[in-house]
Amino acid sequence: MRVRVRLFARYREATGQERLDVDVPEGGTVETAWKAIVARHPDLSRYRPYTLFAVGHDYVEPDHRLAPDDELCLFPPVSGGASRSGASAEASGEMIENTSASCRPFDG
Amino acid sequence: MIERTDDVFAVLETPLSPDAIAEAVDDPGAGGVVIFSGIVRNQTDGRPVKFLEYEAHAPMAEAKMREIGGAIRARWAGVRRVAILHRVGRLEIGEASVLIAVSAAHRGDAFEACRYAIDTLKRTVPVWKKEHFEDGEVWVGLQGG
Repeated sequence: MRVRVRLFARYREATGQERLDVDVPEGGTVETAWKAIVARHPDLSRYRPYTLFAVGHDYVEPDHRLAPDDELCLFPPVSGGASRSGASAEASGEMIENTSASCRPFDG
Repeated sequence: MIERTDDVFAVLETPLSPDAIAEAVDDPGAGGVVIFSGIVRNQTDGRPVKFLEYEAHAPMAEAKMREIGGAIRARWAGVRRVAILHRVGRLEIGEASVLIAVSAAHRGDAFEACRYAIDTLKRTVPVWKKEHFEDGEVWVGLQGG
């Protein structure tokens, strides 16, 4: 089945694409789709621990089962949980060139 | 831009107006209005910021804002109206990226609900910002705060 994928922020920039379609087997999960995405964009594989997934208007876990024509979104971390915050700092550090900055609280 | 018939939750590409959001939560039963304005700071950890770019999954962001509004109404019975606006696109230093307004019968509910709204927004609403420095750029979430 075909799953539509939308890429945001650093994922969009890393791939140069806002949208792509992937084919996954019937009953495939978010994880299955992720593997199909990474097959096409291997550079994304290192961000897997920091990636958030959403379908429709809800965050979903990697074992979430996809339906045909679902729109799967790939997000950088949004949440301020301690573990995620640390993870996102690492992710940013890897992603960014020419800068030593990392993720930090946004208290604006 | 803002309808006064209901709570307001929107992602916008245009400058945000504190006057307009105050009007959006106007209610004859309100005894107080609290407005939070998040603005673009000129530095991050001492590193000068040139400008910011905000990006959102707008429909999901608005849905998550609506959830915040629902949670507020369930928790603070005195709240009369809620409005949450987030701007996207390029923002200059000093411009407002987010505005939250809560009107309530009494000030305690308005302060608490507004604080809850901004804290929750930063954990759940899919918005990211890219900080542009003199010597580089970096994507960050809205975490912490």
